[in-house]
Amino acid sequence: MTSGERTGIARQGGGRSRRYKLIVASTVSFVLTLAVLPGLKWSLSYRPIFDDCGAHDGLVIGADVDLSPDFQRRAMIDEWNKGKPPDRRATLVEVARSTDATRSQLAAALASGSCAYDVLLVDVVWLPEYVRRGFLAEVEDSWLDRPNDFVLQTMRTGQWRGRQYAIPWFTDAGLLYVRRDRPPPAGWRDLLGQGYITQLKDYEGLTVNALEVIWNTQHDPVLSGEIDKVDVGTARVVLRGLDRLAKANPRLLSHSRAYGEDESLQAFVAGRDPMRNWPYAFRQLTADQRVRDDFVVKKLPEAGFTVLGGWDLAVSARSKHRTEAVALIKFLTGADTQQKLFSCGGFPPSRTSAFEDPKPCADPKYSRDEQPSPRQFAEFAGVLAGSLYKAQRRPVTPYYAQFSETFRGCITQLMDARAGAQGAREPSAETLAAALTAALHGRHGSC
Amino acid sequence: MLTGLNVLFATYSGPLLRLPLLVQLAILVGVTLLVVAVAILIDSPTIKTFFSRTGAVSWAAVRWAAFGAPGIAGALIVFLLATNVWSAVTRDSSCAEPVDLRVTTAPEDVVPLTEAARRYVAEKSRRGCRAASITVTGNSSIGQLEKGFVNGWTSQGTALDDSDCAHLQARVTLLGPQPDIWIPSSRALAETVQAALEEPADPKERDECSREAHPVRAKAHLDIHESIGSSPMVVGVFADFNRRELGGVPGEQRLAALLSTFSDKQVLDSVTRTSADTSESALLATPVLYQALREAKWVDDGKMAPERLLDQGGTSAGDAASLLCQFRDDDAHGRTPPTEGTAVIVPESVLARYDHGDDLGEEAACQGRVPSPKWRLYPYYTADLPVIEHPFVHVRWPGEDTASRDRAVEEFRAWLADGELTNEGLRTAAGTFPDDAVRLRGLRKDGQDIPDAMPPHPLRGDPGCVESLEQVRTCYNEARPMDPLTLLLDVSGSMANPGPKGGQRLARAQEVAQSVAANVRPETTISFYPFSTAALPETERVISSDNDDARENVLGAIQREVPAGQDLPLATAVEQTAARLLRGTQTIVLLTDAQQVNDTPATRARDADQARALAERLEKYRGLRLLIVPTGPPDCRAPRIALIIDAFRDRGTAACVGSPQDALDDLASAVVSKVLWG
Repeated sequence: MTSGERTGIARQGGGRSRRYKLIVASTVSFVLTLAVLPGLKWSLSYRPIFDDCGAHDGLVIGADVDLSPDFQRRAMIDEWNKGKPPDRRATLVEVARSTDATRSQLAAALASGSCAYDVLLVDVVWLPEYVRRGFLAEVEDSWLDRPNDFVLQTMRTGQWRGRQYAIPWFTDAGLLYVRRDRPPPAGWRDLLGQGYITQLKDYEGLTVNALEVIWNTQHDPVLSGEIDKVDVGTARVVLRGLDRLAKANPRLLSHSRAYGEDESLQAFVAGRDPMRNWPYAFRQLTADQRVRDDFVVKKLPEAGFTVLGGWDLAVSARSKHRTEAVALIKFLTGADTQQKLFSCGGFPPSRTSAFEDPKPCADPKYSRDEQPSPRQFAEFAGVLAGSLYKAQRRPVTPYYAQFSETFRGCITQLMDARAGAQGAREPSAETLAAALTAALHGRHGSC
Repeated sequence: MLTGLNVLFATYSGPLLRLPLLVQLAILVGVTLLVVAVAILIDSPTIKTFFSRTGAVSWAAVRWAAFGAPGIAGALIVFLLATNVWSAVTRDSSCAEPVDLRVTTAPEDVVPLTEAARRYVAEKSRRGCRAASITVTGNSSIGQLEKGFVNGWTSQGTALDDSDCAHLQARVTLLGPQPDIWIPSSRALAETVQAALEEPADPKERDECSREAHPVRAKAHLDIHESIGSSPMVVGVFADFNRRELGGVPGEQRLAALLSTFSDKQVLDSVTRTSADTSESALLATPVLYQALREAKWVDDGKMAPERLLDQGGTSAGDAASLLCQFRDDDAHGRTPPTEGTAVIVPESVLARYDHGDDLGEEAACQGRVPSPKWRLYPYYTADLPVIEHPFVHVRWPGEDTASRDRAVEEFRAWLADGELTNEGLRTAAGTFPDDAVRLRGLRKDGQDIPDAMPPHPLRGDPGCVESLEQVRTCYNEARPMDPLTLLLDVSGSMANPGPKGGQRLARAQEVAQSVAANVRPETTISFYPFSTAALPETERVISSDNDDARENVLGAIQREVPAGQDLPLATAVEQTAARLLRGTQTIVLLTDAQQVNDTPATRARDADQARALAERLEKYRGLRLLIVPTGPPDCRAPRIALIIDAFRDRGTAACVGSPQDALDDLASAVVSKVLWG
């Protein structure tokens, strides 16, 4: 063997050894690095000052502030707590009057992994967002007592993509309040021509009222249910409906643009014009000595499409008291509780049985003239039930807040343009369709 | 050995890990170098051997690491794929959820911050998706704020049981969403609250509830950062009283000198400040106002004289924005400004927004409107009125403290700290403003002198009143009377009905009563009586307090009331209550919906007789005043109220205060003003 051959073999051996070292070292490094990286990532991650998720005894219910007559919601919690030991009682945590502020608190807490809340009072428009973000536990069949008793429309408000995540507690539908000495409007042409008091201030009320005008004047409930796209054809229907709203009686239109629910109510009490408002106004008006029974309640005219509102009860996915939470929800959505909430608290019930043989609140602390007469209450219940069956959902999307904000911006643009405001421009069908489609995906869209 | 490791691990996973990565690395390198240096200095053969072996092992590790480089690279790629790329690939085209941030600030700063937050959200959107969603709410009471941070942001009167920390009442009301960010008016306030949150060193003094905390009542953790914008307090005068030549060099003369000049030239002799109970900026301006009013000889040396004069400005408002909303409303209704010459003490930013016609709040009266020439306000600057600092306070709550929330808060802070609020009418933290700050530049209209720089400075005013917030509050409290107060709350069935502003009438009455009870002087003796046919004041157990701690009992008792029984004639309720009071100067505040059941001429005649009889019988209670506060729907013209006021007309010891339409803070501040000064 020549020295050259020996060098060659040595090189080959050295090469093999080198390759061997490379393979061994790489394999070991691969495994070690994979084992170390999660630890490294953990060591670089944020260290919270508070580690606890908020574990607690008893149940905590997250809700907005109870504005009902006689605090009926709170009374229900007191009823539930009767006879229970302190560590099994429920606490109603009222976050704020504003539903947006309430949402921001609950969403912030739940998104951070907090287990402070067990039961959540959910506005029907937030449900898809809550489900998508994993805040809610799915409802099991055993959680529902007499499920067929629920008004179908209200039951659907607790669903997202075919699964049930919440149980309707109380519901809402738009109604028309008319002074007794005034003939009720024959149809939407009449109503818009005469003008009516409604909520067109830049908040959720504007979205609701615009949808009702569009649905009823175009006889087509567009922008409703689970949608993720708005085509140009739909946008044209929307613009035709908004055109009818913009041409409504200018005196009342301009006033309504500054009104929310309460301002509308004050304007109705002070004047003779009809008003579109939610069912809570019925109790408010009958208790007001300036009005009492000087009004009748009607369904919205013609097709009678109205926006379905309301609040559902859901169990937090992070709750550590799921069994008790379910029992509380069963109690709160039971037929007896619904009946009492309707008659004494003014909450429109989500069960059909509560509409059968309705009677005004029998609480002796009320004097007779503060309560509606049995006939008046029965009429109201009948009109409300009828309206509920025609009620339609708003767009059901996890990005409802973005949709509503964009939609309102487009309505305002159109109304301002019609009012001759400087710089305002009517959106085209294409612009509107693009803006609303973007909003349905959570993107900023504008007209 | 194990103990040592535990200590090492606890130290490293504790405070060290909260430091930025570079600082952590610097500490590790520093410690290593220190060890090496010490070892070299010691010069021991054992250490030399140790270093030589360590060196050899390290070199072998480096050589093997070089061989293993492909493996390391592969592992990095797999790790990145698994943690980032995979989630990006599987994500749909919709936006990820924005982080919900909650901000609380003084009521007068809610609108500017909301507008700034909107701009921030729009600017930081990526491909149309929002990174954050920001809700701004106002905090209206300084006392509530302090207790809120200590008690899970629950409102005063929620009646937490300190002996049973783990459980809550059946109902707890929050002050609003628990804030991630708090923008107070001064660093002193933030530091006072922060101090209240600190655990006492002595375990015996620690609050049991802080260790066994229910999540809803847990304490917050505050990090106080730098100012995000400032605004000097200014003296605002209406157009008819504007004398530019009297202002001196703007921002250089003292308030006392300015007031003296105004009165010497007979321009004006009255000044209004909003409620110092609900407005932080008003509280901060109080010491210098007291001093200036005395030095300018607008008041005598009596301890309460300045506060009495400040209260006689004729306007009661909870905060500066609310005050200017009242002016705007008067302007919109064609009224004229006060003719007696009144100046207002407000932050420059609020005045600038008012003059510019911007929104000042959500109420209809606050909506944007450029003032007519007579209603325009002109600012005068002094060297001693405070400059509102607006420090940024990062708030963390148990159960909500996450990396994404922390990052979102810090990003918003960095954006605000860049002087962004100058677009909304504030100055920079240093007290200057850029040329494109339209609202502040707008103040220079009509040649008004607006100083370019108004840097923040320590509080000025009477010595002994400005060294701490506690001193400011003590001086303010000592300048107010503390005559006994009795709260008489109508709890009859009609109070369960809805009121004109939505919500139950009783709830409105409870809020006003709580606010009044919380805002009178802490040493005031407060008694509380509910009344209806089911709760007669002559037999009810009285709930009373005469110090700040016991006041919680009164607030809790008010909160717990629910409607029960039917209407009790107002005259009967007042008479039964008066019979249980000690004689002396005092006030009964009666909150009622004045519901008239069976309103007939006969019942009115009977009620009128009762009212007259009451007025006569109360003659013997010298110094007793009756204030009636209507919750609505009817206002002070309600027959049941009007009859009583009429019966007391000659004596002047009864009055009806406020309107059901008033904002809560404005109404409470009007009632407190009447309670204190008549």
